[in-house]
Amino acid sequence: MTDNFNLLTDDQLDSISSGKLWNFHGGIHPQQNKLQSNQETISDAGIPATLIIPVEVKGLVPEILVNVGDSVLKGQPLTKVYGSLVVQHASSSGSVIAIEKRCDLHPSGLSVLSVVIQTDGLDRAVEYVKPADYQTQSPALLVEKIQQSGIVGLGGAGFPSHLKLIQPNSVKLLLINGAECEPYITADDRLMQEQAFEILEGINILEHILQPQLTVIAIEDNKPEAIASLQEALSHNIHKDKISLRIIPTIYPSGSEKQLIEIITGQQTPYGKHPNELGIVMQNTGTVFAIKQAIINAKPLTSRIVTLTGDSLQQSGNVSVRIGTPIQYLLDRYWVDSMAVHELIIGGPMMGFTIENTMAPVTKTCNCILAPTIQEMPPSLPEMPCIRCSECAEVCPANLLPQQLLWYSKSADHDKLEDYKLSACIECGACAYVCPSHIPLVEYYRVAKADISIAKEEAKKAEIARIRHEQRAIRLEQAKLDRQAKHKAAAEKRKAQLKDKNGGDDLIAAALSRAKAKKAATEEPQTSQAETQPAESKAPASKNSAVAAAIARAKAKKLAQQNSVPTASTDVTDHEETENASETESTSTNIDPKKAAVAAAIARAKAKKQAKQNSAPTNSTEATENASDTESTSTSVDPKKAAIAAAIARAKAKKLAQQKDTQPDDSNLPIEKEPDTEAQVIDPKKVAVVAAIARAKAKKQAKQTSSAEVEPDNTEMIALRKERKEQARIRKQEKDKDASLSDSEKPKVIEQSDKPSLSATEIRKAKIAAAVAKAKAKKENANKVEHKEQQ
Amino acid sequence: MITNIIIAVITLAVLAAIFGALLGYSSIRFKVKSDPVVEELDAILPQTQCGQCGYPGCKPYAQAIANGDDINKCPPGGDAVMRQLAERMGIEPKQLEGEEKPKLIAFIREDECIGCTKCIQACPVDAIMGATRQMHTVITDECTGCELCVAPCPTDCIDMLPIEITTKNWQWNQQRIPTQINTEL
Repeated sequence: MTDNFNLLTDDQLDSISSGKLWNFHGGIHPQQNKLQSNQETISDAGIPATLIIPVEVKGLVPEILVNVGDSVLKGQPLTKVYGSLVVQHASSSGSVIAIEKRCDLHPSGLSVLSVVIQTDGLDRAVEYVKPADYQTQSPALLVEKIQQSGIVGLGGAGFPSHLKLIQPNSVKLLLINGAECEPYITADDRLMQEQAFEILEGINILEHILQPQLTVIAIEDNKPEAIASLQEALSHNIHKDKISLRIIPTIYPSGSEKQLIEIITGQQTPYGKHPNELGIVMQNTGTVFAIKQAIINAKPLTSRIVTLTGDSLQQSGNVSVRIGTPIQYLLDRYWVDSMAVHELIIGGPMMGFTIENTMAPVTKTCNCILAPTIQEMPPSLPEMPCIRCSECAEVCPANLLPQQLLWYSKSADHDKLEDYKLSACIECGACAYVCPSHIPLVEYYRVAKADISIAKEEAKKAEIARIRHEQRAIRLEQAKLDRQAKHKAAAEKRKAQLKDKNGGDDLIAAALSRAKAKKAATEEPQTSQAETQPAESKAPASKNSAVAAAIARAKAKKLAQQNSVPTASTDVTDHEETENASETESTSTNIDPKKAAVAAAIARAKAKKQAKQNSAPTNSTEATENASDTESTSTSVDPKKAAIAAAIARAKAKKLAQQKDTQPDDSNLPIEKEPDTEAQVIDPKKVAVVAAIARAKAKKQAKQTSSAEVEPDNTEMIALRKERKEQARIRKQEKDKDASLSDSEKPKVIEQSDKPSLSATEIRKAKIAAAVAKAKAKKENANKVEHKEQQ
Repeated sequence: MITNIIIAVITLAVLAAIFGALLGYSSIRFKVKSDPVVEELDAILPQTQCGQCGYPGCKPYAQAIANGDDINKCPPGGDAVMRQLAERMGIEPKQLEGEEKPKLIAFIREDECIGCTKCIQACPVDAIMGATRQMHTVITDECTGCELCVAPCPTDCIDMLPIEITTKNWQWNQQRIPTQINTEL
């Protein structure tokens, strides 16, 4: 987001370089307490027995390059670059004894993943290769090197320095922050006094990277020695005309980034903006020193200056401490009076935090360890109600309304806190410092800020959860539809396959219709036969097979009539067949199917009449009547269904025949009784079935005999086949119990069923019953027709 | 006299026609497609999709509230959400049904997981990863703590654990911050 509107103008830069200073709103003048620590030169804190180097930053864990047991040298990288995180280095030589969670230097006292090094006391360092002159290197390379060297803002915030040096805008102003406004802390002060030349070299590197129009070093006027040494160094610097040293009045919090910018430039950083967007880059003097060390000496950041102060310490001063040194080590080394120490504060008294665990290590952000006595820093007085004195509003450097913020922080009104720009609060503590009611205002703000950030995080998560839930619902809905479509497609495929298999019809539907037809037929009164039959036979007239069947039936009935007169004959088959043949011939002359059908119907009706007259009113005759009825209806429905029905009937017939065949074929007498007994014993339905079977057989015979020429050969052939297949039939007995026979098997079945039909006719003829004879005749006729068709 | 009456009637009729047309037009032009109240209520709800309110998710509950259901059926939202709902609906806050408890996150004891995928099917926000006969695991960042995955687990290997406190989500302890120093020396 490039907003050039906010960038410093050339006019402004001119007025800055003229040496003009501005003021920020508010500010306080707390007791400095700097003299205790800024008298002594910086000493080395020494090498502790163990170094605890935290590698986890805000929950982010970079890749760790060492393993437990590895020996490390000073300056050896422990982690890889991870996102914007900088590399952590071993700050002394030794061996890694653990990579585990250790107490961090954080107000929470929580543990973070740390590399624990047992030092060997030799402080061997990796070989620092003297790099090429930075002037010849590209800024991007130098920025990367700064990240590799593990440099973060050493002022206290710990913001990775390389991020500030990757500039989206052209840099107008480079600000070097040497204000160090917090009481007690003198780390930067001492560093500027002792390392002024190096700091200026670091500034030159930053100028090379950023190419700012102007560079300003800002120092509070309470550090005269530091100012003097910097002026001395500046007078020798090659870029001295571009760098100006600005001495600013001592006021807390002038060291804060936005406040210092206001003092130097007179510009307020707009709410929600970063100084970078104004074309201003600010670096702490300590950071500049570290950058110089990294770029020119190739030394990564392994130690920092820490102010050790407070009345509990017998020896106050600034020490160079290796990163990871446990605080307890420093306390022991500088003779802390463990009885006198009231609390241990990391950072200054205004913005620092207390720690409980003294085994926490010194980190890159730790600029001061303050061990005050209870007299020096008495516990805060009990909080009183706000009296609305507005002292806090007057001192607030960020121009906020602290009492309003307190009010809304207490009521956790996040919207109002946003309205009153809580996030602009720099937590400097000036408001709490001046509060006559001893209200720890900053504590409320910190809690409220954390609440808001958590609430924002939750809201973000809730939004993600909502989206995920909605998308899941959509996904499930889609899956359901897909599944339904799949099932439908599968069902249709199955249906199609079944249709193909069964020759284009549904077996179940066929069975259903068949059952219906049967029911209708049995329910139909016999008297209506004459009326219904012609109509039925007319309906399928177009279908030849149906017509043929009707004709056959008619013929069969006629024959039956004729047969019923001569009653018994020893050699019936031949006689019948010849007669049948003549009959078929006569019918075949009737070319017109409709006429034939009508004739057949009439014939049937007549035949029935006669049959009734001739036969005693036994069950069998009735059954045949019923059967003929069912047959006619079934044929009217569908030829194929009829065929199926016929097949079933045939199968049953076979069974029956087989049962009969178990007795010798020629012995008529014992078998004579069988049909009678059957007819008497079996209920009407069964009789109907038997009759249907008989009819089917009769049809077949009629078909066979319909062709006169082939007939004699056929009979012989049939006789031969009979014997052959009789054996096969016995074998198949079990298999054929199932009535449902597929169409493909049909021809075979017909041939098989020929034999039993013949044998059955012989037996029945022998019985002399008129009704039985009629049935036989029918069968023969049917067979003739069938045979004809086959041929 | 008669003309006056006629004029009045005609005037009124014309006015009625004009306003009728205006209303008719605006009802089409400015038609609100969905109930904005439901959207607002849904935004207040914590989106755990836990179903503790008796509805299959937060949006159906928002719809139900808009239709007059009680506002106190969301234990994950707690008192704060109930109050916001009360404010939005313009009704009195009520005692929360069920107890408010800190947010928990599901954790699968992975060595006990048999890979049945039942928890995956139960998760309303697809926060569980895994495949049939493969170990499952919870995506901690996506887990809403609805506990819907706990019951279907045949091996009872899902625990509801409190969120681990890190330096990122840690809350300031008010007693830890010194902002007072003795300046009257």
